[in-house]
Amino acid sequence: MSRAAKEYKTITKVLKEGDEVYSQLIVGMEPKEDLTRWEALIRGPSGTPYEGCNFRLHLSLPQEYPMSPPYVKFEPYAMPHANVDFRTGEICLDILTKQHWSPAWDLLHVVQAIGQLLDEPVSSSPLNVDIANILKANDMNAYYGLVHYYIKS
Amino acid sequence: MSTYEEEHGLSRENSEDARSASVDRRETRSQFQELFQTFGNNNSEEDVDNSMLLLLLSQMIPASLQQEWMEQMEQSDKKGCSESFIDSLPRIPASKIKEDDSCPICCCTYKEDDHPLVAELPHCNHKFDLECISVWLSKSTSCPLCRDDVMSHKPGIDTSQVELEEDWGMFG
Ligand SMILES: [Zn+2]
Ligand SMILES: [Zn+2]
Repeated sequence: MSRAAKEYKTITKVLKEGDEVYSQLIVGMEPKEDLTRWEALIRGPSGTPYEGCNFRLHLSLPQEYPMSPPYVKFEPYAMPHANVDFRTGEICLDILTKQHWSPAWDLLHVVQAIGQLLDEPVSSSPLNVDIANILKANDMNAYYGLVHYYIKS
Repeated sequence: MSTYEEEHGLSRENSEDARSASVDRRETRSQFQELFQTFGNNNSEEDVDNSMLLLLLSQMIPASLQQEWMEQMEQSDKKGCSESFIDSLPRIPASKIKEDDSCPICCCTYKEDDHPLVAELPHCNHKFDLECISVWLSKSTSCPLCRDDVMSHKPGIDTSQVELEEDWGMFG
C-alpha cells in the first residue's frame, strides 16, 4: 500500500474517532479525485483573530512524496495572515521547504503546523507586509481589525 | 585499397562506437553551452562576465571532463550522503525486529516483508527500511526522525586529503 493510501486510512480513522489534538483544528479533510490532491477545512484557533471562521487548505502531493514535501496553499483571497500570500494563498512555513522537510512527517503534521502558524505568525518572514507591520508594532487592536476586515470583505 | 578502419586495426563496430561517443560528446557540449547561456540570461550583470568565461571554457575543455563536472554538479546539488556511506549503514538482523515495528518513512510494518532489510543510522540509532532511507540520504544528510546530521560524526582523518597536501608540498 502506498504511503498516501496509509495516510488516507489514518486520517479517516483519526477524524472519525474524534482525536483530541486534531478534531479541535480539523473540520474535514479528504482526497479530491485521487490521493495526490487533498482538501482540508480548518477551524480558526481560539484566542486568535481567526476564531469563529473556517479556512480551506489545498494540499497536493508531488510524485516523490514523502521524499519531497507536499504543496500546501490556502484558498486564494481567503487567508489574511503575515505568512500567507493573500492573492495566491501560498504559505511561508519552513517545514514545507525541501530543506527542512522530513519524510517522517505526514499530512496531519503539516495541517497541525499550519494551525500553529495561525496561532503564532512569524512577522520576520512576511508574505503579507501590511499584517506583518501591524504585528511588529504590536498593535493588537489594529491586527484583529485588519484580519476581520479582510475576512469579511 | 584498404579502408581507414583496416589500416588502423579497427573493426567496423569499434568505429561505430567511436562515432556514437563523439555524438554523445557533442550533445554534452551543447548542453553545457545552453546551461551557461541560461545562466548568463538569468543572472544579474556582475555574473555575466563569469558565465562568458565559463562559456569559453566549455568550448575548450575536453567533453569527458565536462561530463564529469556535470555529474558532480548534480551530486552537490542534492547535498546527500555518498553511496558508500549509505551502503555501509549497519543492518538490523531479522531476529531483532519486533512484530509491529514499522518504517517511519513508508509506514509499512517491516515484518510484512519475509526478508526485511532494515538499516540503522549511526549515533541516533533510528531505524528505517534500507530502501527508504537510501533514497532519503541520497539527497539529505539528516535523520528524518531527529534531524541528526549523519555526516557530522566522521570518524578519523580523511587520508586522501593528506596525500593531496603532500603532493602540493613537492612544488611549494
Ligand atoms: Zn519504508
Ligand atoms: Zn535519528
